[in-house]
Amino acid sequence: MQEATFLILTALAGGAQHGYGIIADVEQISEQRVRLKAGTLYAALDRLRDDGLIEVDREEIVDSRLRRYYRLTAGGTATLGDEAQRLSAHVQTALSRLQITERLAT
Amino acid sequence: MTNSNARLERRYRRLLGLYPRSYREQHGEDMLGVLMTDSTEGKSRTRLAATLDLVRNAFLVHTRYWWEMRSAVEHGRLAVRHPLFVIRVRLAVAVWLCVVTGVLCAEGYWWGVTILLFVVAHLVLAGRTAARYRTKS
Repeated sequence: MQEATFLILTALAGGAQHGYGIIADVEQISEQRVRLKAGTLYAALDRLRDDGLIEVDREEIVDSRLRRYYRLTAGGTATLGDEAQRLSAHVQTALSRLQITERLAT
Repeated sequence: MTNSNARLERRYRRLLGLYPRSYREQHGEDMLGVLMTDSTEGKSRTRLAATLDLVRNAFLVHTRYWWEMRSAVEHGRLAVRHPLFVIRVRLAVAVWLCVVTGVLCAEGYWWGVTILLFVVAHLVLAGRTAARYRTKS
């Protein structure tokens, strides 16, 4: 899973959000390292919706503009959970090996 | 809306025209909202980056849709993914079969009327696809 996809799903794990909300949330989650642009975001949302990982939650009109809110589906929640566990296992392995390396160095 | 905002919106609308129609219908207005919010808060460099990102992703979306359409044809799911295209093709085939029937009958080949069964079949299938499309949208 690409980092942008992982971050979008993580943003939606906190509840339904609209496009600009996702961009702001992803920026915050990634500590200002990732700022999605509209083209990239909506291409990812379109693909995730086709894959059944997200769905439209509701639509609102704000300042005479359409705002569509997206939320995770059950499949999306499961996929994000699996990916988070996989990444977490990698992080654990990396950290434990680094500890061994540091111990050997001292 | 200020003049520069109106100009910017026109520019983004033109760029959104690079995307497939079904994609535009689905995300166009929503994207425009995000683009305008982002650009009003950002600088001209942000706008350039957004423009390049739109062009790049329009190409990628076209490629993905084309690829999915190919797989959909292979798996017989074309009517689900591209209903409007299927409806138009079925209607075109029905019209063409009507013309063939007309020509055959005019030449005295009355068995040609049996082709009308295929015309009816195409119209029924086009109607079913249209009904599904209407329910979905």
